[in-house]
Amino acid sequence: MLFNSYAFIFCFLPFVFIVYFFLNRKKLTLAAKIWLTLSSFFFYGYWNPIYLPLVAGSILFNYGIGSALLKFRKNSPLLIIGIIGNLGLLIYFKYMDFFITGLNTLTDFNLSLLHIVLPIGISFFTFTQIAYLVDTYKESAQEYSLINYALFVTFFPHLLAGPIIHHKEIMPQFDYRRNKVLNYRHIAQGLSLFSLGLFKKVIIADTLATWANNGFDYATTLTFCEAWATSLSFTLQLYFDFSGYTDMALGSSLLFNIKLPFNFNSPYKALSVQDFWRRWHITLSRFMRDYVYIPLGGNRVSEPHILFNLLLTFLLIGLWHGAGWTFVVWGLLHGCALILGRVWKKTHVNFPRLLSWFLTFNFVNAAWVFFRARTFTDATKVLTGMCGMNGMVLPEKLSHTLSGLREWGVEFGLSLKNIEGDIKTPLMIIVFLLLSFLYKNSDEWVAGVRPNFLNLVIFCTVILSSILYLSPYSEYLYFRF
Amino acid sequence: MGRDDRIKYKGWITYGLLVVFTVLAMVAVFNYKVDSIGIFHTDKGLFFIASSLFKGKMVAGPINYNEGEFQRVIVENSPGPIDMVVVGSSRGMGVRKRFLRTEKSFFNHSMTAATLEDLMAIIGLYLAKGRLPRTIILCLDPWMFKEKNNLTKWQSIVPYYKKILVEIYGKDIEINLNRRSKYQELINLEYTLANIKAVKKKKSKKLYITETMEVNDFVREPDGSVHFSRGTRREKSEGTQPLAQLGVRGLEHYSKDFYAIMNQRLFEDFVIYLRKQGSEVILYLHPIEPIAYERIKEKYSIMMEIENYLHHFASNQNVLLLGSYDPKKYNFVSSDFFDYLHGDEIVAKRIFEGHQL
Repeated sequence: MLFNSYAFIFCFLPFVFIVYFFLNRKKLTLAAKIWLTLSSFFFYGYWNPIYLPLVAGSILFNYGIGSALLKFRKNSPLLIIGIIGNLGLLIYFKYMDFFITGLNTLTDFNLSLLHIVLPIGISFFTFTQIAYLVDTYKESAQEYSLINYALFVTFFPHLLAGPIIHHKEIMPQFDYRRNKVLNYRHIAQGLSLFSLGLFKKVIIADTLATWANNGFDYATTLTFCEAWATSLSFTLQLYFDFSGYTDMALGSSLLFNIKLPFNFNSPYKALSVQDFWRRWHITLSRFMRDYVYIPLGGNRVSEPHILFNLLLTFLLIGLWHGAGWTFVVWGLLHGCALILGRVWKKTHVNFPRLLSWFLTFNFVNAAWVFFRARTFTDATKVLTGMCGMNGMVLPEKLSHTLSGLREWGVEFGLSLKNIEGDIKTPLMIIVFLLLSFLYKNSDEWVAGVRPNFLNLVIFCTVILSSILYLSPYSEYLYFRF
Repeated sequence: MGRDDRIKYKGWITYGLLVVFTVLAMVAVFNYKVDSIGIFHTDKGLFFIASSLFKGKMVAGPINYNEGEFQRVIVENSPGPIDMVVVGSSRGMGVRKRFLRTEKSFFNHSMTAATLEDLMAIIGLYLAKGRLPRTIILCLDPWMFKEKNNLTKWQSIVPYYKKILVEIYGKDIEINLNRRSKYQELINLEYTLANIKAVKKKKSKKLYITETMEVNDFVREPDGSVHFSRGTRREKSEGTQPLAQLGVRGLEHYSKDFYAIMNQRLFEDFVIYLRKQGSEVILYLHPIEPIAYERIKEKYSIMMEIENYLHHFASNQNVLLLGSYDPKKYNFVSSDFFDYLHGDEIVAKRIFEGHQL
């Protein structure tokens, strides 16, 4: 089920919410948890119930390993079995065709592709459970109840696209007595956050998607303006899409008095690539740091080893996002940028803040081209356009004022025709860029939500415009990971 | 949180939800009442069109009514049996009785953006009435062989699609339609704006009988075929080249993620079933505008594969196939088209001429 669907907004969420607090009010706390778990399974299976047994099986497997780890403490072979089991599942569903294609390229095997449909959310619930097993091994998490464990994994706000959670930060919240009763401040904040997320997704991300899709998927060539409009549209679309989804996840979770970890902190305000990864998909960065980078040696090893670990971690981040070489390149680009940043830091030469921000943003924007492009040809098309190698066409209206530019090969006409853009395109890109650079992050905004008239007007306007604008076919970009 | 705060937040939430649901309810009532394209009510205008056509008159006006429902009204209320039908998308709308040199009773049921399932649903209407047409012309677009078409037009005739599936496969088929419920239109901004526009104009359902095709509206002939509005046809005079350029993008939109022929079994079983019932089936491929076709064939060879597949199937099954997506095969030039997908009068005329059906 999608957060941005009528079924979720008008039926699922209110119904689950009412029954959950009704059961808690009747002191049926276990029944309330079971209700929430079953509702979460329904939420997952609503779209395609075929993978419900997979999720259930994965939960039972990890619960079994977790229970065994609690019994036989510090048992490394058990942990390894658990991790291999989870990674095996992920590899089978997500990477088999990628490996087979690679093998066919390198050898004469000519194996047939399996064409396995990726179960939605598999990367997220697999990582959540790996984290649980490692935490249990380290004795920083323990769960004896199957219902609690199933609720931890399936709790619907985070199930499909994160944030990636830790057992210890979520499950105690379900047991706090004060969280079993209605909290009107949380409801107000949750509704505000949900409406903001819906607005980001429906109004902003889906509007930008048109130009990004036209540029990446349909246009055969892109001029300078078109290529920049394409890449910036996608850069903004991805941010508003994913952070909008996260806001809706956090908002709907807050209605149940459960605070999920924040996943974004205005990433496009970052002053370095390292800073960017502290602000973008924070729970994934945290996972990779805690469960990959630090176990590899972290910062405690020699400098070349650190640099290698960084590169390896970002290679894995790239692969986590998708089984394709463009994702590998995207991950490696970020890894290289972090290495470069680390080496540069040692020179003690600091750039002015504005220049640091400018370089970081443009690097991130250019790297997203590989993330979005289906093939290297598509990526090259956008990047060569951004470098001006396919010429520059400016709007006809500027032909008098800037006629001197004709000598430099600049043409005048329909400047965004290959992406079906018009005057709205640059205007919207500028407005949304300014919003992402200058406006408060969602958590700051929600923390400031007070029950006053202005916030009421904002809430009503945002939620009404989003609901009326809702499109039934709009999926989230991060669902495919 | 103190008691005062709790009361404040509670009041804020209550007012907020009250405003939101009141506005949504008002929008829903407005859309239900105005209902400018007849989603919720069987449009009286549809009966007007049907009865006028049955009387041999041409009807002009907008074509944005519920076309699926219109086909149902036609089939259920036709005064006599219809022996020959055309089913297809808007690309089949230009096939007229006079081009076919036939004495059989004829109706063109083509609908905007129709899918293969739409075509089957219309035949299902005849099945429900108890008599299949003797000759069925299937106007096939390449996109009908693409999985997951946006099945948005034929909601009101879904039961008839199911009916024909049951006839073909002998059991009830579970159909998973990934499309929106009509009730979602109640709070849809696009539909609200269309209804506001309709109220402003107060002539959204303006349908009238005309003696001439030279009106700036869509004109439906008594045989069900359609003449596009004069405005649409005139776009040609602005030059077909830019239209074709635009068309490439339009075609690419249709062709996105289109790499394999789908719906093959459904199509074949459908045709074989019709022939078993004694109906003659004719396949009709409406050409694509030449410049757009050249561009699209470079990128999507699937178009040619589909045409080859249809030729192969037709020859194996001994079914007549007329037309081609390739405009060169009938010597069509850009000026024979008024946009990248739709040909002028001459296109269907030339393809069908010489065939006694």
